[in-house]
Amino acid sequence: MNSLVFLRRMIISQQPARVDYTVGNQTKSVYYDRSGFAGTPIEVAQALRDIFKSQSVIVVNNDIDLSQANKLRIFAPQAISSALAGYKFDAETRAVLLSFTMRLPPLMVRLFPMNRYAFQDNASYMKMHMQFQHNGVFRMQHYISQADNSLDEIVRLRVMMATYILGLIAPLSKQSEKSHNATQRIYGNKAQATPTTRGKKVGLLSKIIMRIRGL
Amino acid sequence: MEESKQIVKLVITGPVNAGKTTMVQNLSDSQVAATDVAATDHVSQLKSMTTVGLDFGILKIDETLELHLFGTPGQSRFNFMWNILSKGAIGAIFLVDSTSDDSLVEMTKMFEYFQKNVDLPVVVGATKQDMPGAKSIEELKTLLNLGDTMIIPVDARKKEESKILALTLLGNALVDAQEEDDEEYEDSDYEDLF
Repeated sequence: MNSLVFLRRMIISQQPARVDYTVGNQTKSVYYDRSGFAGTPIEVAQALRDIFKSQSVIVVNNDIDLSQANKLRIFAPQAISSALAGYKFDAETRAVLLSFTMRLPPLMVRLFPMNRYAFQDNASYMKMHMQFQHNGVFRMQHYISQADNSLDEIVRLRVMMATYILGLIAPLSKQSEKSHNATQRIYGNKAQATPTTRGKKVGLLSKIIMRIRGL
Repeated sequence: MEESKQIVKLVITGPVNAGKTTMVQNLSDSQVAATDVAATDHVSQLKSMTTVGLDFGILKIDETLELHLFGTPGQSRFNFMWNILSKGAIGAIFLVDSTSDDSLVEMTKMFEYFQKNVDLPVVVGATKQDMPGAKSIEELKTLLNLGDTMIIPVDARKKEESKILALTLLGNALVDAQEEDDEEYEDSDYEDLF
């Protein structure tokens, strides 16, 4: 789902940009700068929904002339919240989103007051953040697969989209994952095995299994 | 210069008279250091000798790796030993005497402590299944509130059955370790997303 990647990069860079996207046979554009997307709330929400579905999205960063754009700006969190409010997907889009989710690495989740921007799925986002705080790492695949039903899965996928586009999730460096685990080990009440690297553990277990078989 | 040896532990635990010492002996290729003494409390009604320290055996895996087998004393008052035993351990085998209600009560206490405090792969072996009055595997699973933990009938006196129990535990641990491996991502898998 390239549109999510382009939107994320554009929003994080906060540089003036124009998003050209194709809907049917028509090519449309929406402008963006660090204040937000240019247009009315309804226009921007519709543009973003079209971008999510569009097969052809290009972000242009050079020589952006914002004088042609609407003077009204919709701040990115507000725009994404509006675009995703009640947003549902067909089976094909769901499959694409699930496939996208599968590629996400272990993540860190940043806390951002999305409730201020009327983000409808804020409760689910809070759960996501709590999972991250509790485990020190967040795996989107687990979060999506733990959905209670199809409606809950839609909500979780929307949270994935919002947090990804807005940069509220990011790859967790292995170093920080280790450091958090170390903290858990110190303060947690569960006695744990001495850490071994995972690949090494598989190798050890395989050797032991072979040996015991031969007893 | 001699290459340093890596040591991993396998803990065999459970209530008194369930067959822990026998299983340590079956899985070790060295002479087992047992710390059995004459039982003085209610255990004396069950058997003449009981373990007070740790049964200890070694299974040499190769030149660089040894599996150290620890059989713990069979009373829940020794639960505190988990803090030491679990370090560097690859899993735990619980043995429970299927014929003894006292064994089940003790096992419940020990397993409850284990679940709360120890994070290791575990399997439960139900011994003495061939004895009169032995509870079935299904009954034991319910009585002991084992949840998803696997419980398998085992005759601890038979080496082959001890091996099967250990292999079940290690096989489960291997699957878990492989799943963890699968979750590791190479940077190249996702760098285009961020």
